[in-house]
Amino acid sequence: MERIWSYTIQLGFNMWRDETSKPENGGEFQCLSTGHYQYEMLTDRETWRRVVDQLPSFGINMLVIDLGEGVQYKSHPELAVAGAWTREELREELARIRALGIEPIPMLNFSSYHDAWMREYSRMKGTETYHRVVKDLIDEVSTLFDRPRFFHLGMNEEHLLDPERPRLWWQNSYTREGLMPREPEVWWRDLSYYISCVEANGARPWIYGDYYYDHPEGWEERLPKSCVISHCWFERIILQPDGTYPPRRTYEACKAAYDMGYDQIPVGSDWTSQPNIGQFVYLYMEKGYVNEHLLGFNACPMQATVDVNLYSLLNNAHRLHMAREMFEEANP
Amino acid sequence: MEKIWSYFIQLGHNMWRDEWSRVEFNGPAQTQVTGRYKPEMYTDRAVWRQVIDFLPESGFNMVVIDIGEGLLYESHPELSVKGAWTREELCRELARMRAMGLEPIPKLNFSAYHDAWLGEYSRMLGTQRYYEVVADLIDEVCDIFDDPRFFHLGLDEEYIPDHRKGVTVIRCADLWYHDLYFYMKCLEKHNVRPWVWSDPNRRTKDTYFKRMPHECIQSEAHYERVTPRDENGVFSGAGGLQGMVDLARHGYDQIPCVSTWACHQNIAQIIQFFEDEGMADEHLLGFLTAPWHPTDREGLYTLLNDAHRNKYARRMFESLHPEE
Repeated sequence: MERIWSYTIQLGFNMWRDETSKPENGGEFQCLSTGHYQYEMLTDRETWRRVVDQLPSFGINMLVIDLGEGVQYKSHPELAVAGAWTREELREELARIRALGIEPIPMLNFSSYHDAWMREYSRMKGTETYHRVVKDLIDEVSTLFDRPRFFHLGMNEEHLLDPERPRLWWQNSYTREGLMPREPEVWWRDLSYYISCVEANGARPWIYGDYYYDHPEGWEERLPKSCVISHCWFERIILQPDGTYPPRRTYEACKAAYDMGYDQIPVGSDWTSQPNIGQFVYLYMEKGYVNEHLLGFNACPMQATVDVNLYSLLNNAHRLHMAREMFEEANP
Repeated sequence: MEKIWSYFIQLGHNMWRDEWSRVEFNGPAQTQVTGRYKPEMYTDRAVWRQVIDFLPESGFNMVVIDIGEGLLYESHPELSVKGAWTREELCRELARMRAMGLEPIPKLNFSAYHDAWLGEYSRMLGTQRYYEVVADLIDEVCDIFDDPRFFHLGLDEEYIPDHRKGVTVIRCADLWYHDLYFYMKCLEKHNVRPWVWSDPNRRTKDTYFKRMPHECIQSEAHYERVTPRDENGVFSGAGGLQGMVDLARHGYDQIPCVSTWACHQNIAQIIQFFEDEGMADEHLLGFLTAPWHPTDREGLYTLLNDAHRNKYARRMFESLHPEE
């Protein structure tokens, strides 16, 4: 089985802040990462090209494209910002990506915390309109991607909207306001709906798995094994003085997904720690989670595709490459 | 006055762990960042060259070289590891940097927490032998660098007891300041200005501002995201932001240190912080970008990332201060 060594790239970027969010501290260059709501396309084509063109040299064989507001959807042109790519432009780029030996995979993040790109529809959950828009978008994107093997639905960090939850400094009032997380029943019902839309287009659903942290009950009954799970860990892994791993909910969730037999594609990043990607890959190796359900790994820079971020975008690919070398040496 | 836009590069890397340290991280690929003691040279020459060559276009005019075990010292060859550069090699590289418009500045970190590169001398603090070795090294490095404008003495994080090291030494206040003055005296005869990390100010502010000479350039650091003061007027983080404010209030020349170590946006955010706090004055000599990564293949894009972000940060600063 050839493993997946995937990379996530941002075409859209309105996944963190909505139009009413306060900008994080004042300066011009501080907001390019999970920063301001953008009324114009942030993605810089030259930077996009420089990154994508180098991915094969880093051993990347799959590219997850976080679309958001970056496409002029035929079904919902009202979601696109100025400068969003046309359907034709995206199609051409997908063909170019395939010619580079990379499999493009679409991502639309339907988490309440990350769906600012859906604009007013993000506040219409539970309505017929919301469900129709979701289906329209999944159908259209599946066609644009020529029925991709996977379709990433996001679904991460929904709990960050919970006003009762103790907030860390980065979960403060700079982020989205006035939204509420879905109740678990609604979250599961909506996820089932997204999954049915994806499967109707012949793709496998793929989600981030952090909802497990606060809601570990009933996963096997409610989430089909056809759904791929990605657990993310972006921080440094420092062993305890006795050489053991410190207790972390992510590590427990990785084990739970392994025990339940879900297919996994863990995600690392240099977001807050340079050695994270290699460390997270090694955790799976050391814990013995390497089997046929470990489909591969993903590097996710969480950075806008703009020149100031160019070398961090390449850094993530480079470090995944080094992690792959380590993994393949141990698992020939 | 032209501001300093300096980049910190590691020639040596045995500043965090001694030869008794246990491997900190899980896995073979994870030990390269402030990682394990190595008896061979970490630095990859091709990566070094690629990074240095990228610095002028990234807006840098100074390079601070953390030398450690990476040089075959004539005075103390016992300190160098296998593959360390010869004096001639380093002199050639310094000439190449100067030709590119980069001013090279030496650094030897004499913090008891970061002096594993000193080998057994790191366990001889306060002895005659220790002072002799320090004086020899400072003399030799000043000579190699042609009596540079500044000399970075390190001196950070000495308060950290570390289970990962084999031996932890922490000097108490009087000896720490005694030794600081000794290092400064060694530099004085070369007419070189001392430069230190300022984080000890966070723990003993009154003493620090009484005993730290203004002659010493100060570098405080805050590597995380910068958020404004909270409702109590306190900055987030470990005290680096408040330290920068306190240094400015006490009239020290400072070169704040920035990095992508924990946040990619840190470099520009710290510059904005100095603007917001009204501290972008003549005592702000410039900025120092420190990737905190060995100069090796694994770190190549990390090293370039830090450099590249300086270009944008400098542009932002100079748009606010067209006279600089």
